[in-house]
Amino acid sequence: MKSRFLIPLLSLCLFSGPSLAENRHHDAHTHGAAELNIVIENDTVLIEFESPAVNLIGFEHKPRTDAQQLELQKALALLNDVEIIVSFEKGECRVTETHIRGPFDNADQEEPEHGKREEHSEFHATYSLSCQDASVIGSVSTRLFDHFPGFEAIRVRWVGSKGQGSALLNNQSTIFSIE
Amino acid sequence: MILKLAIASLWNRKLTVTLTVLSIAVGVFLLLGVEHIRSEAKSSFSKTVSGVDLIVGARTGPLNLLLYSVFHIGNASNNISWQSYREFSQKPEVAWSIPISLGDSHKGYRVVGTSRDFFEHFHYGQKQNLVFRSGRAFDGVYEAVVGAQVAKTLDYQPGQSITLAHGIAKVGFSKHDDKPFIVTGILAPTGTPVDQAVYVSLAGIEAIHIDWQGGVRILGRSIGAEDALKHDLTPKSITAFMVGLNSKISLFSLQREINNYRDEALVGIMPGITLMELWQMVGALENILQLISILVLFATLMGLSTMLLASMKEREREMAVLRAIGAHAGSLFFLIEIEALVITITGILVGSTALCIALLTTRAELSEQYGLFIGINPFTPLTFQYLLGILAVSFSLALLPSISAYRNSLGSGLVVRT
Repeated sequence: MKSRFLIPLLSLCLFSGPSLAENRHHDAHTHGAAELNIVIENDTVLIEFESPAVNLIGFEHKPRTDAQQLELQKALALLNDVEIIVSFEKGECRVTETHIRGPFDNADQEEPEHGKREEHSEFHATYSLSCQDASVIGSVSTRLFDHFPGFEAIRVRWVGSKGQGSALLNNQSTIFSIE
Repeated sequence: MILKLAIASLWNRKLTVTLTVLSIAVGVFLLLGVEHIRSEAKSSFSKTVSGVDLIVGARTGPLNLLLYSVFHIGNASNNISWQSYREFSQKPEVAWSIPISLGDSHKGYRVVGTSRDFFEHFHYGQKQNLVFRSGRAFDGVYEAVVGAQVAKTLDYQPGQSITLAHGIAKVGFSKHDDKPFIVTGILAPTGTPVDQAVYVSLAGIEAIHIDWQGGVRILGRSIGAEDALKHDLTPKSITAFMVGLNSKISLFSLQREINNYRDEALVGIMPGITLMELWQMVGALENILQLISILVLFATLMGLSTMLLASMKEREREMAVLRAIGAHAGSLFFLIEIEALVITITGILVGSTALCIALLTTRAELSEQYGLFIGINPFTPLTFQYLLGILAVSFSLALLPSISAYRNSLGSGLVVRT
């Protein structure tokens, strides 16, 4: 009896199981997909956004042409506006801190060894917001799909005072609610 | 008057009517049952863990970790080292942590090795604390706390001596009978898997396995209960641990740190998000189940309409006589509609009674086997909407035989056939 219930559940787990690889650790990197994390505590909201570079600029190597350089600058400029990433239905918030790391601008990244190529590059953005009353934030929408056609799906995970939740956004559904 | 006539007329055709009532009852049972179990399972799962920010275990699927660490469903693929636990539990952003060590059982109930922090920091439902119904938390190595259901089923009181079994088989052959535990406390019922477990200290788990190797007791090297206390009872590994943070702001960064930890393959999951992802995954399945039960119910209501329509032929004379003694054609229309509604309502009553009985008899099994706590009252505002919908569908499907009664009663029934 028990297995009837377990087998469908456990087979679901198979889809989500990362493999064991210490010291040869590789982060997942799926083109078209991106992650958006939101933490709300008291009146502080923290937003983290992480995406493969290809979703925003269409390539993952260092820009080789002026057109590519322009794409990169455009993407970085858009990311600077938190309203592109998320906008809240209610609640007055202002950005207190923005930190954006483009795919090619960390100087401390070690040069790839000879013969090895760095195959993937990503955008990371974090925003801290200070809100009048963060508890009124009801639904949240994103405009990422409008500005960057490279996105297929964005996985949102949020943590608030009442609990945790997640939503999967695509270009048809760009709104989710935080209860 | 028409109602009386309708009931008498149905009574006259007991057998077909009973079968129709039963088929509607099955449809109602299925629809309400699926709806009830689906919503109850969700709320039962969601209220099991509250206020835990992260659950950390050996790297595996998030769902798998959640199921074995909180719901005691399935088993861990790997343990994690005590050292890693210490390292993460002492981080400044961590407010509290609860270690969990699984793998032993007591008469079919899971034994959970943990620390006293469990009783203090573990919450369920709407951030409710665990409460002792009697006794106190374990203190010594050979002390145990039992869940409400365990105490009730096995009739335990504080002071009871119990023996833990190695592994989780209901009939365990390898018993830790040389090191009995004393029940020191009984938890109040929570309606969560906590009720179904026995809690001991991590040192207790370590002590009973001190003279074991490779899953069996080492012959000729048995260490008595008293002697075991002289050994170092710090565990080498645990199954998982739960974490509460000082500030949720650090949640995602701590999770990333755990997931990218290079010394050991760990995974940290956020229980609320994992549950929500589970619902998203099983959502399609739920919809299919619901669709099937709606279709089954629709088919039974079609059967009702068919049954009434078929009976029109044999009741031609009855209808004609009713008209002849002065009944209006409209009355015959209502007679058939009322018959249909009486059958449907009886079907609904039988179906929901059967559902209540079924829930009542299986709920113990459900909570023991699956950690699912299902209430026995299947009625919610939503189910009443469903029931009204059923009545409306049955009314409209019964229009066909009713209109036929309205139209044909006089003409065809009184014609003398040769």
